Order: sequence, then structure tokens, then C-alpha cells
Amino acid sequence: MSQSCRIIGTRHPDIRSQQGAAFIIMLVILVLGVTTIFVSSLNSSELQNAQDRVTAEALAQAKEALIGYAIKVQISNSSGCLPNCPRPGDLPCPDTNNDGVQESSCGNASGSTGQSSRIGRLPWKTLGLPDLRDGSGERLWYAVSNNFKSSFRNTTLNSDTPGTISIFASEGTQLNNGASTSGVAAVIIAPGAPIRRQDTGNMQDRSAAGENTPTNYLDYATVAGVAHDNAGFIDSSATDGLIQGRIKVYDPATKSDYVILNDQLLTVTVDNIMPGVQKRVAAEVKNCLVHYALNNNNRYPWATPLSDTGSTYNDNSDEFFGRISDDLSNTENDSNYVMNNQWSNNCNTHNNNTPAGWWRNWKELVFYGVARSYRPRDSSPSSFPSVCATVGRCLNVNDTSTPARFVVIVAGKTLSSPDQTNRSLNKSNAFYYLEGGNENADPTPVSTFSNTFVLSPTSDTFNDILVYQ
Amino acid sequence: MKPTLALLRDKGGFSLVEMAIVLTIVGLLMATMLPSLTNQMEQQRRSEARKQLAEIQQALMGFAIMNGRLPCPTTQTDPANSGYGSEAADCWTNNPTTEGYLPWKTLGVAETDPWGSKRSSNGDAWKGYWRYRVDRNFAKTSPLISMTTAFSPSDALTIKDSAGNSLTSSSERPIAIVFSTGPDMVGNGQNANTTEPSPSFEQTSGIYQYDVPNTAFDDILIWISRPQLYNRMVAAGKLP
Repeated sequence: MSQSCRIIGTRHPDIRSQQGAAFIIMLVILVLGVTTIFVSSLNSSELQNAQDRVTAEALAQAKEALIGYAIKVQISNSSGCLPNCPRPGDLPCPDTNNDGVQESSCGNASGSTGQSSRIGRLPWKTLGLPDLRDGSGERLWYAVSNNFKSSFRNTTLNSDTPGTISIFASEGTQLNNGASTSGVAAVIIAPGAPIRRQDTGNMQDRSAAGENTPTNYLDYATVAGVAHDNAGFIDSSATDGLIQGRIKVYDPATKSDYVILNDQLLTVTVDNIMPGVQKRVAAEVKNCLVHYALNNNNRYPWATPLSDTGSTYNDNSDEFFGRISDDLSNTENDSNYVMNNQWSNNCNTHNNNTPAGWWRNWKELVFYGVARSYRPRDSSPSSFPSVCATVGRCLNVNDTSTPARFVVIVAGKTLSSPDQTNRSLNKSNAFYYLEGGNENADPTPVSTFSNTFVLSPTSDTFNDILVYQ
Repeated sequence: MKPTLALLRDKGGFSLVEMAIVLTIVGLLMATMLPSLTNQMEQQRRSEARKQLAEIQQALMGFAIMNGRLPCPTTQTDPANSGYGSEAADCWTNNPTTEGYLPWKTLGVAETDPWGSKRSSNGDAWKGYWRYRVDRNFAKTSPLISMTTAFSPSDALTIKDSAGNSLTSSSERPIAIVFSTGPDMVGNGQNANTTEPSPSFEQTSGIYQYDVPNTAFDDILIWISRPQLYNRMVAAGKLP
């Protein structure tokens, strides 16, 4: 400072006689101005960040609850509820009247009715959630696929069931195709602050009069010449889905960008839901086997041969690996009528020999292997099997050094690598369902299984869920 | 340095009037900012409380993943007791369960909310301790939480807003509730109990209150959603 003063001083000798007040005032104004601009710019981007954070947290919480809801669906061994039996994997219908509770129906089984009621608000009370809000204080919205809606249910829900909702990235590229196997099961949507809809030019009316109209919350954008309207979607359409915000367009008049679509999406894919649902199914089957053994001298029934693809799965003598049997007559025979030909109580897959409504979705995809030591007894009097400590008489699972009495494997969706396409034409071939070594299990081994069963995390090339005891 | 000093000497400093004007302006500015500053601090405390509650929510779900159940409230009132701050044993034998304080030691979370102060002796008041209620079926040591665990009908935990509207449904109830008593350090509305602020381990009512802060209500309350907990437990391999 002193340096500069001196320099100035030499140039203008008369500066010492001036007060310098104007300079100080100028300086103060300058500092104030810069600070104001700095703080306000900090504030607006900070505010945007804070809002986006709130939105992201709300979306994530909703997604967790939806997945948990799908896994925990209360099922029973009833078949009288067909064709609308609760199934693991069911997702709630949206809330279309803003009371937080799912509506009792969002279309008929085929989905030909009720398309518009498959988009609405997230039924937060049904999910046991607090009144979740996005960063701009709005309740979350939610769209559900016809294949996963809980009322009225479409016929089948298992690992091969695709979602039917198409999703587009904000620049217009397709992320999920509802017409193929990549569609999503549900989407949670944070509607953001009200904006002017691009199609009508009207400001979104979020007063009580407009609070149940999707167009007042969800936005419209034309991206790369294609129109996208988030206020509705069509199941199994490759083109009519939802698009991720924010989408901005350039306004030549103001020479700046403005937002035409501010919906934030979080998808719930089939891959998000299915591993948990498969675990649930595996646990139900394990529970049935455990209860059966409790009532039958610690022994387990024969499996159904893979070649038996009729409507009733019949167990077969000396079938150590196959599907879960509906009818246990050969187990009964081979045990000299000591073992039961029906499943026990406390079992959700069967009511006696009748497959439960939900189980009919899964029976083709569930495999079972029983250890030689625990096979149906072929001599009387009744005897309990030796424990699995006896080497060579029990099953090997890669997860444990303790041999297992039985394994249950729930097949995941059809993989492309290994190539399992045409699964429905190859029901008697385990290769089309299982992988990682599980497909090599010999149904009728001479002594015991030579393969080691594989329990491993789900990946692109392995999606079996295995449980054992 | 010398020329600057010379410059200052030449100016002869500020006059008393100038000084007075400056001080008045500064004073006025401070006076206008002070209320917003205290407001800001209060806001800060509220957001701190919300952050702590979010941590408590994570801790409760973590506890369930490790133990297969939710913890019981702590009901020990003596800070000298070794069980102080830890969950009471077998709270689920009470039907319905009692409300208590969040077992902060068991969960490893903050002992009190931002308004509270820690107790050091048995006679100290409970200021700002987190209050906690759990559905007894989800706190049982046997059977642990399973896919079929139902809500306890005697607890029937319910959340209402200040106007009395229910924020929960009878088919999907909260399985646990935690709340901060807020700046006034007593439970308001449905969260109040008769012997505040001394401990009352309320047993009868499963109805609690959640709302944005208003003149009659300043509690901050969260609850645990069963589907969300199940999702965590399945992902962690604890269920099914």
C-alpha cells in the first residue's frame, strides 16, 4: 500500500491534500457488490444442491420400501384365491386420490383397463413410510407395471417376468424398453416445482382443484423431435414411457436456458426386486422341507424328474435332483407307507398335494437335491438317517465345509450368457435354468453327487439363489 | 510506512460526529440481524436434530440386521447404574410395551437432542433425551423378526398429525417410533405424558403425533417402516 501511495504520490503531488473519502466509499461499494454477487450465486446453486439431496434421499427411501414390500408379500398355501392370489414380487397400486393409501384396483388382470390409474402418487401409508416430500415440498409420484401390480394380478410373476415401463435418458436415448425384457417394474417420480407444461403452455395448477391431475405435477418435453409426456405411460410400449429430467431448452429471446421438464426419476427394475424375491421363495420351500422332515423321521421326499413337465409334478423313486414334487406317492411307497404322501402343515407351497396359487408361478423354476443319507427310507422299521458327517453321503456346497442334507435352488431370469434363451422349449434341461455348476447335478447319481453346489452373489452370468440345510 | 503515517497525521483522524454516525449505523445493522441470527441458530438445531434422527434410524436398522430384532427402550433412571442408556431386558413381556428413552449406548448414537443436557445423577431432570417406542412383536428375542411378523394389536402404533388425521394405516403400522421433544423439551400433543418432564414409561397409548412445527407442537418424530427394514434385512442376508 505504501509503495503504491508513493508512486501515486510522485505522479500527483497534490494527492496528499485530498481526503480520499470517495476512494474509500468506492472500495466499500465494490466489496459489498462482489460479496453480494458471490453469496447469491453460492446460495442459488447451494439451494439447488440441497433440494436435489432431499429429493434423492426421498426417492431412495421409497425405493427401499417398495422392494421390501415386494419381498414380504403375505402368502398362504391357498389356491382358492386364484387367479388373484398374493404373489411374492407384488407392488402396490398407486394412490390416485392423495390419501396416501393404494387404490383397491389399478386395472384388470390383462391391463386392458386402468392404464391411467397405474400412475399416481406413491402410496406412502401403504408402504409404512413417512409423508415423503421431494426438494420442492411435493409428494412423490409412482408408476407401476401391469405385470407387477397387486390388483388385479396378471397371471404369472416369477424371475422371468419383465417390467413393462420404458425409460428414457434426458437427452432422449432409451434406457429401458417396456416392449422387451428390459422394461422396469416401477418408477418413483419427484415432480419438482410447478412449471409451464410445454404442450399446453399452462402453468401447473397444484391447488386443491388440480391436485389429483397428473399433468399438474408431471411434465412434458419434446427431445430430439420426440414428444415425451411423463403424466402417462403405456405398458409394454417401446415409445410411451417416462423421461428423466431436468430438460432445458434455449430461449433465443432471453438468450438463456430454461427448464421444461423437472421430474426426477428413480426406477425399480426387475433386477432390483428379484434377488430378494427368489430368496423369499427359496426360504418358503426350505421351510416346507424342514417341516416335512420333522414329521417324517428326518427324511426328505424324492424329487420330480426334470422331464416331467406335466401340470402335476410326480415324485420318482431314486430321483435325487429335480423339481419339487406335488405328489409324493413314490416317497410313501419306498418308505413302506411310513412317510407321508402329502406336504405338512406350516408349508406355504402346497395344501396337502395341491399347489398354492403363488407357487404355480414358481414351481418350474425351483430345483431340489436331496442327500443319499436323507432319501426316503427303503427299509423298515423306521430309522433316523445318519448325520451328514459321514463323508460321501451328503451334498457339498461351496459355501460351507459342512455337508448338506438338501439344497433348494431358485432359478433367476433367463440369461444370455450362458445362453438360456428358449427356456420354455427346454424345460427338461437344467442348463436352461441353472448355472455356475449347479446345472451339472446328476439326477440319479450312482453313489452321491459328484458336483459341488454353488452359492454365489447374483451377477450378469449367475443368478441362482441357493439355500441348504 | 513513513509516508502513510504522515498522511494520517495530516488528516487529523475522525471527528466525534463521524464516529457517532458510524457506530449508530453499525448498531442498527446489528439490531436488525440479531433476531434472524437467533432464528438461524434455532433452525440449525432443528436440522441437527433431524440429522441425528436419520442416524438413529440407520442405527436401529443396523441393530435389527445384527440381532434380528429391534432394541427395547432404556428405562434405567440412575446414571450410576451400569444399565443406564442400555436397552431394558425383555420389554416385550409387557403387553403393550412401555415407551422409554432410546437406548443410546446400545445403539452408539447421541445421548440427547441438540436442546438437551446430559444427566449426571439420579435427581437430574430428563432434558432432551430421545423418546422411543417399539412394537413388541419386533423386539422379541424369540421368535425374532420373520417375514410373517405381524403388528402387535395391543401396541397398535399409529401416527397422527395435529389435526388428528392418521398418517399411518392399520395394515402397515410403524414398527418403532423415535422423537425429539424439541426446544420446549416436553412432548406435545399425543406425544405428551402426564408426568413430564420426569420419566414416565407410558404404556397405554400407541398413538403418537407428527407435524411441521407450529405454536402448540415442536416435537420432531420419525418412524421405521416395516418394508424398508425388510429390504435391508434381506439385502444383508438376515432374512428370509
